Amino acid sequence: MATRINIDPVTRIEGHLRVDVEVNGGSVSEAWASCTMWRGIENILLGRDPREAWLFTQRFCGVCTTVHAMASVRAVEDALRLPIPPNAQFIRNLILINHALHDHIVHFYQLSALDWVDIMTIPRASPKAAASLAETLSDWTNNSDKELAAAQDKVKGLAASGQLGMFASGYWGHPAMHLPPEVNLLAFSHYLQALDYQRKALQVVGVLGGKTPHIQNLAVGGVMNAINLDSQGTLNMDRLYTIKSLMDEVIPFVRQVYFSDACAIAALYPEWMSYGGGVRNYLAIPDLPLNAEASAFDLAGVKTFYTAADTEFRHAVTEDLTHAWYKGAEPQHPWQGETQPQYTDFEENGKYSWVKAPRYDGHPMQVGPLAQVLIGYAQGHPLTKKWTDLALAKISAIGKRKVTVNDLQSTMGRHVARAIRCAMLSELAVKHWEYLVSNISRGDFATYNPPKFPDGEVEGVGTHEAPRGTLSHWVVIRDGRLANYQAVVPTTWNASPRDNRGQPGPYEMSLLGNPIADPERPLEVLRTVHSFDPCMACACHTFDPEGKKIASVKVL
Amino acid sequence: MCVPHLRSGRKENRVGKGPVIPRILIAGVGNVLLEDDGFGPHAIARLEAEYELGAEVELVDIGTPGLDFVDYLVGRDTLIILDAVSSGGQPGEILTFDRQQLREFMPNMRLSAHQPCLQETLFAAETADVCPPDVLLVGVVGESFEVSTALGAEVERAMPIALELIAELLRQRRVLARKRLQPLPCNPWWSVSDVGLPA
Repeated sequence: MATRINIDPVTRIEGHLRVDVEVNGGSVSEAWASCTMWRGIENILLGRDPREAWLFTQRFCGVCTTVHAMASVRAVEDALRLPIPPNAQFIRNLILINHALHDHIVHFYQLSALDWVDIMTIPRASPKAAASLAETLSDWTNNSDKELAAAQDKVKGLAASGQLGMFASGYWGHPAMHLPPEVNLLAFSHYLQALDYQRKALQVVGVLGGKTPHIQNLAVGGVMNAINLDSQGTLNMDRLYTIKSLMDEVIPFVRQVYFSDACAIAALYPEWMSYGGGVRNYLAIPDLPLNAEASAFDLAGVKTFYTAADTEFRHAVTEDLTHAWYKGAEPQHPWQGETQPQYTDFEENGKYSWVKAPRYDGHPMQVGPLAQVLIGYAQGHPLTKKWTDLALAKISAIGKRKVTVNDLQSTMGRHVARAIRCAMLSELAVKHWEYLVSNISRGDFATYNPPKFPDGEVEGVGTHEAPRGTLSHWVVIRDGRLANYQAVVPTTWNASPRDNRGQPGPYEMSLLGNPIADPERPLEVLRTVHSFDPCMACACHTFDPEGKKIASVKVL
Repeated sequence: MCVPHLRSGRKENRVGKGPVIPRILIAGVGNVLLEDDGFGPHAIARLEAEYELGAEVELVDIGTPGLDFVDYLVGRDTLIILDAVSSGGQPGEILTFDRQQLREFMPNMRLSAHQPCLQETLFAAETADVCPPDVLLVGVVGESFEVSTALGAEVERAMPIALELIAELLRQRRVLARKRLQPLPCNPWWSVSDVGLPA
């Protein structure tokens, strides 16, 4: 007997992501991922000045604002073949790195840890035993039994007051939750601390970007930060050291807490390193450019995809509309892409999603930290290798079972890979701060090269390896105005529906074979989908005063 | 009460002492690219242009934030959220919610994978002991949420009434909030077609 489970929404805002699964004999046999909100925002850009596109694109989404701003200016610079000054690269890189540190920390603790950590067991944990356990895991100094007892009191207080807030509807006591109460307590204590550290990372973005969310300092051609070491109103040594001291607080949290917790939880849920792999074609783009021309990078990706001279990436990407609610028969290249809606209702054999199906040479691709870590590891990228090997050794030691890089191709592997990437970025944060300071110390204060728009038509692509994976913005500029604009976002790759050949997207593939202990409470589906860090990237933020039930179950 | 605290995105950065945080934050939430959803940011731009406000008030167009929002709450006494509302009244109707009501409307949902919404942000701030004691949401029921940078007619009609309500909420908190005789120009970036960068 098969059971059909419909989860809508999977993300909290207004039902952007819907997942349908069929369960046969206790595991998922078919899956459909559907975005239930139209992403036609690109149309608003047509005819506008390309220099202002980034202001609009960073409003696509309230969480990934910075990344859309960055991809947009890069796309226009690519179309103009416009290099930007090294200071501008480093300032942009520092913004991207710190935004990603914030984003990864929040994803792990605030948005997905409670898929694994059962809050309701915390009242019966022993803070003393939890503190001793913590000592074996990391050198973090805020793991004292006093600290842990305070976190425990918080849970007891919430439970006693009946004000559980968003904890009220967790799948507590679910049979797939099996961490010891002490581990749950430790993780919850870090959940509280993470709220503080994610803010510090964002403060760096705010100091450099002028505001967050929605940075103000970008320009096509560089950044608008004036550098003058003697002026209070500009980027000066004082501000640079403010940034440094914030990063110095965040970095130990990333390495001693986040990285360590991700490894411990992976070790204690070994079964989740065997489910959820899904699509095994990986795409990642090199990022954190080291020079004006963006010809060398600090984050690994498939190299030939990037530079203007290498045409592979530019020609390999198409978007298929067979199962998406848009008009158009043939797969379209983004420069020729159209976004004309054709809504049909959810038809599992027809059109069923507002997400287009991006394909690389016709293949579905998985993007995200896992893709970046696996590609970097395969290339022997030293920083990737260092942190991946550390993670694998730590998981193996805690779990007393040898874990290899292949085990990362799983639901839990995506979490571990994100922690590996975050640890890598914590090193690069300092490195790029030093690049910026030493470049300024050499007397180079340049931050901006003015753009010049030619008559006629030019095309460009701007990429960024965002926290959720490969992001690309595709522009066509005609006589200095935007003639086409398409954003192929990470979640478009991962949440892609089936294509004209019937190939499912990464979410759909990764759910196959996942066990489902209780169809009424499909925790396992959420674990796998959440491991991708979904962001439906349109963020209609309307306040809806009516709560909704999210999972419904039908016996077929 | 003003709390000195290092925070991002200050207009004036008093280097050395760290900026002082105004005790009242008015945050316009919403997506300016999605028609009536942009009520919050539009209202911030209009307040700035049409009202003279006390120095204790900070206005911010915060867009559609996730947990980024928590950082803005630290050190405040009062938070007034301006947002579009999708149900609960006729288009253009103005609804206000206090903290308790916001709590009750907490969506009946599992943890989101992403985009923590307003209530979740407030809950996180409460859990971290940084939530202002005084929280209000002033909402206008939207009619249409299609792609556009302009507000619809009903929300536009409600705007001056909503602004006056916000001013009254400030006056109740003993803060200057006076309509300017001569409004300042109101040209938010989404209403212009050229940025006008230096050549």
